[in-house]
Amino acid sequence: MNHFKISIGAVFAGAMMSSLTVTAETNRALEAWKAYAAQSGNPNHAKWVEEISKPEALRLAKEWAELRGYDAYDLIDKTDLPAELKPGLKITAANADQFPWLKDYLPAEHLAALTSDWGNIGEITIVPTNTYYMHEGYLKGTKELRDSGTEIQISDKGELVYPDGSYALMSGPGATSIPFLNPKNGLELNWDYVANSVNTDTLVFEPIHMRACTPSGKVDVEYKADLWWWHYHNRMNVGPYGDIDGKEDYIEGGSIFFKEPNDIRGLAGVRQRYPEAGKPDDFKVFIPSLRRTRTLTGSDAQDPIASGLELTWDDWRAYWSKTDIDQFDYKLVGDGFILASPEVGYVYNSIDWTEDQCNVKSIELELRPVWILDIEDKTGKYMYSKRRTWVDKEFFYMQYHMTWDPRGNPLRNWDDVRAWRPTVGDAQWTSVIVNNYVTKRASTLNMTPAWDDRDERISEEMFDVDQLRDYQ
Amino acid sequence: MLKLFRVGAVSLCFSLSSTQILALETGIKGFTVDGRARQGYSVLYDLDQGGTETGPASYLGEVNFSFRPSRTWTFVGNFWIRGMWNDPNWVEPEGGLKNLLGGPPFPSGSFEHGTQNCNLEAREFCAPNNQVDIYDDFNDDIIRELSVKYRDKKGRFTTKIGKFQRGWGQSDGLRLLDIVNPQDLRSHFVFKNADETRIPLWMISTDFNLKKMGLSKPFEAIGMNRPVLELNIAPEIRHSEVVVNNPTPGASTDGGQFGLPWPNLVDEGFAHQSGLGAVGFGAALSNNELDDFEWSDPEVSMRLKFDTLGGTATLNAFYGYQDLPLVLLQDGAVFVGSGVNDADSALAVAPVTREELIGAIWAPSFTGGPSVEGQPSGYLPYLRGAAGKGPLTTSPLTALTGGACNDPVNDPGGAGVECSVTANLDLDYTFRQKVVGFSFTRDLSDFISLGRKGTGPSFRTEVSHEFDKPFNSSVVADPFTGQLNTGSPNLLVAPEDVIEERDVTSVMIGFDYPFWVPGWESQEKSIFTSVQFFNIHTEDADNLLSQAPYSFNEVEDNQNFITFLWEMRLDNQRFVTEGLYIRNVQNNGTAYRQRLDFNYFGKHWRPRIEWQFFDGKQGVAPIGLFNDKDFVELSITYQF
Repeated sequence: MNHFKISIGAVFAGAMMSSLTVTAETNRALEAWKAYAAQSGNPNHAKWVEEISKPEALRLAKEWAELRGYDAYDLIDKTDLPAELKPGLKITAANADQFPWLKDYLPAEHLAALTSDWGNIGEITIVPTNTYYMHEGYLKGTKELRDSGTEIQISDKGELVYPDGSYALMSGPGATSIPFLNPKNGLELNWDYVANSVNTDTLVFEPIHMRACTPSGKVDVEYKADLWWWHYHNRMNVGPYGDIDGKEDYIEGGSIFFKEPNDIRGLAGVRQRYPEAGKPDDFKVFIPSLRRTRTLTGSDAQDPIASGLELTWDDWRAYWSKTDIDQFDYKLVGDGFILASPEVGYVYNSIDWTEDQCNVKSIELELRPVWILDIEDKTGKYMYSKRRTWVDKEFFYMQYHMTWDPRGNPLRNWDDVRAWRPTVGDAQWTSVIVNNYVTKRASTLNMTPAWDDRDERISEEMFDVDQLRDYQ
Repeated sequence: MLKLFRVGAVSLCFSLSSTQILALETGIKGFTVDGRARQGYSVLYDLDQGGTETGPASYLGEVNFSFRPSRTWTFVGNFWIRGMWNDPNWVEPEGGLKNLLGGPPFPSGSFEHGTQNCNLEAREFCAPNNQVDIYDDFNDDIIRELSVKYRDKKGRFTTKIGKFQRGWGQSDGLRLLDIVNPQDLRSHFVFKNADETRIPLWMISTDFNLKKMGLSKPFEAIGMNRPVLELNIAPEIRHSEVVVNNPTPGASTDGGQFGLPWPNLVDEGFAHQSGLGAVGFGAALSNNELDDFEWSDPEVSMRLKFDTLGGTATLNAFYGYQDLPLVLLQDGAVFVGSGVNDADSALAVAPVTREELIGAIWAPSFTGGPSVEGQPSGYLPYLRGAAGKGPLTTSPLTALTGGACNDPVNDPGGAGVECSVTANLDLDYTFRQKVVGFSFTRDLSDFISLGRKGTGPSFRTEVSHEFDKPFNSSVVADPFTGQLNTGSPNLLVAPEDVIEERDVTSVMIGFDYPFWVPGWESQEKSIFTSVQFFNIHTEDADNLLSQAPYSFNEVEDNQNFITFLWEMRLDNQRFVTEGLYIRNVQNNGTAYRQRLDFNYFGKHWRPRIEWQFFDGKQGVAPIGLFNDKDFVELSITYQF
């Protein structure tokens, strides 16, 4: 590589035109965004700056940086980056060849999408790196573990447990914390990712639109549903706080109620996770054509949640298969940086879709520090021989995700825009891209997260399929 | 046929144009509108007379409103209008009353559907098919759901009031515990989706979360976790709906090709019975129902749901009314001057009491004592004499009318006019139904791992016990001689002599399994498979009719059914193929339904091809009733 590299600190120092003394009143991400927003003139960027400028956002960023021992900029400082890789860079099919270093940072699938006639990306714009963090509950829980000297452990069965052997995700600070701030191996990193859950006690999409697109990039089928996720224990972000009555046996639950198309309207599913290794998820659906609840087998969450979609039950939030050391190997295979969608969905959608939402006119990406986690199927029976997840070093959530089928062929990727609230630190979602590289079909998800009255409106009704049947 | 298409097309266009003025996005938070319009066209084959015929063309229009203004309130209004056009030219070669002129064994006439002008003299019976054209009673047919649900803010209880349906149990296809709602069997009998066959009821349904009410401790102490008690009170009393192909003039009804067949009235069974068709004999069926609303004596059902043994279980209890009828003889009428029970063409119609009718049917002799050749007797001894099974007596109608009625056996076509008798039978729906039951379902993945993906099955079971289930007896005693009889004469005795009550215990064991085919590496989705085994045990089952008057087979001590359902989705799950196999073990009946869905046309259009195959003993319910009604249907649904 003969391109010129300079330190990222110099790049952003130029962009910001000021010295970077990090105080509680600002941070380097904020300063980078201020400079970039001024440069782009995009009102969305200005709104984002406004959001991350708020005192609560700055406080949380500072406290999380102190807890972790770093923020994204500290990690960027330690590496050499291509000079062209800076906010404002636009990458298209026409100029991608001019940046040979792209392959080191941009997922190969996104690079190929610039010239693809399906799942196409018209233009990529690099935006400043943010500093991300989780909500106050995770901050408190993780600090409590640290301050009390409680070391979360991984049992012989691969379960996440307290020193006394009880399940960490079922009570106390372990239920809302990052157990391994500096993961030493793949299993620890996996549990960090699992513990992140969805980074909110109550997730509400009202609704979620899901589209399946043909290889020619046209809408094949589309769905509309309401979708929820509940964190059951040590809730600190959204009421009801503490533990959810009646959910003593489960860690968390996800549920969905389909509203369109008409032929599956009323189809409802609830999946709940037990803490015990080897105990499959509780998985029930209400089938409107039977008007009856049916127990599905938790060992088969590899089916699409609806016909044509590249979204399986195990792919909720990119990865919701159960941790199982008998079936999978968990490997920390490296770390580095990746270009991924910024989590700015609370203010604006950084993906500009084509009208049919099967292709992307333009997308914003930012540079993220990540660990690389490989989850490999040992049995040859799972739908993916390997999952590779680029886990964010600040956020403990994935920034990019790729899978391979049992024959080793690239199968599905996942990139998303989280709707992350800087002042609270919690997050939902705004958009997701999932491409299948075998069938050349894209699925796109667009969510409308609800933030208000979640403590009042969302209840066990959504997580008991026999109540959910009468939802609407 | 052309008319059929025209009407269907007009209906569909009307439905579509109607839907376009409705907006999916109502702009009101929590308020949704959706609906569908469906038109089908089918062809029947494997007919008794051979060849193919245009089959029933079912149609449906539905609109559904839902409003959820808050977490505590949900309002639902779901209305539909359905119907079925039948080929107006369709004729069943053996569907009518017995032919008085045909001579022994007195075969049936023919039955022409879809008309009320037919040649009765030629024993061509008919009925208008407006019974299935449209189901348009607002309360009974059009309201599919109209409900309001209130959910207590603390989650202690949820109450739903209105007209709706509740699905119980774990069985598909056969109903063991799924008895809260009766069934609408007027279109395609039981071979439709369950949600389209359940008849909604005005009812109040409340779920009590016993844990949130602080009442769960005793249950939890014995391993019944998270108990929820569902209590349903249904003051509206409905029974299952069927349409009988009744050719009796004056009481004619037509359910089309899937109407229940007119009972084949034959005096056969024991050696002393004639084996002949019940010539000159017709039956008028009328419903004996409870009031539409039984406020003081409603149907009550309860279900306690709880988690146990790693699965979900229910205890069920139902105290209501029978959905299917018992057949009880009421009285009758003699038609003088009409051999086809036709009041319009009769010279006189003479009503007779039940006692008189029983005497006229069973009396060995009108003069007392045994039957005597050449002397008048009751109808059955007369028929048996004609078959050489006893002394050849003379016609009771000839005797009772002083010779005005012809004697079709001793003097066919001779002196006197044709005459006939109608027995008025009640289809009685007033008997109680008392059922308790249990169901359990559990994912077995933690015990069993099978196949290419190492997936496990789900287990389902359901047990029901019905107390004192009433049956029509299949064997009755001659009220004069005490001799036992079977076959159609069973219906022609006093009600107190024909009803038997038995306990019935039914068990279903089922397994669902997501099947990943070995070697099929590119399989996109598992094939859903489901197998069920049923055993229906009837206490002291001898001499019970399975379902009078439509099915004259006898109840088995242990009746077994096996079902197998599979669903496979191909081509990015746009092509859906679903098969359902049903086997009636003891009666050698087989039914198979194959659906092909072509979901290639976006979210609005849903074309489907459906094939149904029936192979069973004639007259043995449910499969044998439609032995000759195999069909292929193409339907198109527009949904929004």
